[in-house]
Amino acid sequence: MKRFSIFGLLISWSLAIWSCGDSNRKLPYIGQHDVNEKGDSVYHAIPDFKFVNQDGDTLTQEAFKGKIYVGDFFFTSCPTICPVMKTQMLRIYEKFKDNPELGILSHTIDPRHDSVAVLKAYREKLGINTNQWQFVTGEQEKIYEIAQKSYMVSAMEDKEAVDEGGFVHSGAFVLVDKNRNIRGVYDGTKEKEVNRLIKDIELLLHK
Amino acid sequence: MRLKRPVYATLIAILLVNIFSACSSDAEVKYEQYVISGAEIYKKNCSNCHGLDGSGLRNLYPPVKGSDYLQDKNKLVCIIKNGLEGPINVAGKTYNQKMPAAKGLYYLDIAQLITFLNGKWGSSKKIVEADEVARVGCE
Repeated sequence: MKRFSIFGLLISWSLAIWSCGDSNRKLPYIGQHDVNEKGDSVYHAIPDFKFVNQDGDTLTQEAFKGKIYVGDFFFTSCPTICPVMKTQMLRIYEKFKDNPELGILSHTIDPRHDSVAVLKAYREKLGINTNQWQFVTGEQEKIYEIAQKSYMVSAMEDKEAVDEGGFVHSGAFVLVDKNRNIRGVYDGTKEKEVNRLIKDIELLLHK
Repeated sequence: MRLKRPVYATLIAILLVNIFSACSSDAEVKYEQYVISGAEIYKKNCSNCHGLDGSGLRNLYPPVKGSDYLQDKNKLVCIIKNGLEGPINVAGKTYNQKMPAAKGLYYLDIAQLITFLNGKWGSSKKIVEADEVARVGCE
């Protein structure tokens, strides 16, 4: 009888684990954790920002209020990884099209070349026609600063990197939640990593 | 007597090589080699923009598959060697995104690449030789 009950317990456990599956998974908080005076955890967060989007309008964190979003860094004349990143980002765009709770924010790291007009044309050629996916330009230093310090991805000008188009940057997609905390960093050039990102977006959306 | 597994593998490999070399001429083997190398070169140098399936990326990067540019070998060589800038028309659509020159490629690489492109997405299954590529004069 005792053996039987242990056996039963094991079955119900495995059923419980199996049935919860993905929905019980929790995403980590990426970056430095601090504790405030009340003793609560304070997670690394994206600070306020102010850039200009493809329509010449000012774009701040307000555009993503109440949304989760995926951020990345690229430039339109990039001959290497950017086209692959954009192909992968399009998968996310198509998958969550018309979902008001998900945004995409692509920053150019070559603002001298990528003017508002260039970004607008690039975006149109990619077939993006909703506000969900924003392309922004701004002061180069501000963009590099937010990339490196806040999104924790590399982005810099490098004249030596001729084959890369004069810039060195990471192909990361950064997942930011509604509280502007980073919940995941993914290689935007790899289909499998982006599959994982799509699953994580769904997880965050259903919370 | 029982043969060990590596010995079996070797025997099968020799058998396969014999079958292949018996059925295909040297020229065919060479063509296949060019296509395989060309595919690798395409993947490394071209597929980021033009796509692994050769279909380009929306209205940003033109397709290679079915492109008229495959019909003109000389033009193709020059585009690969020197890159391209300004608006172009491919399959009825206008594209205007700068293509960088493939500086690291040797004549043989370009020959293999074009052999692959023609075979896969063009209409010619003929080998393009490195000296043909070398003879092409670009502006």
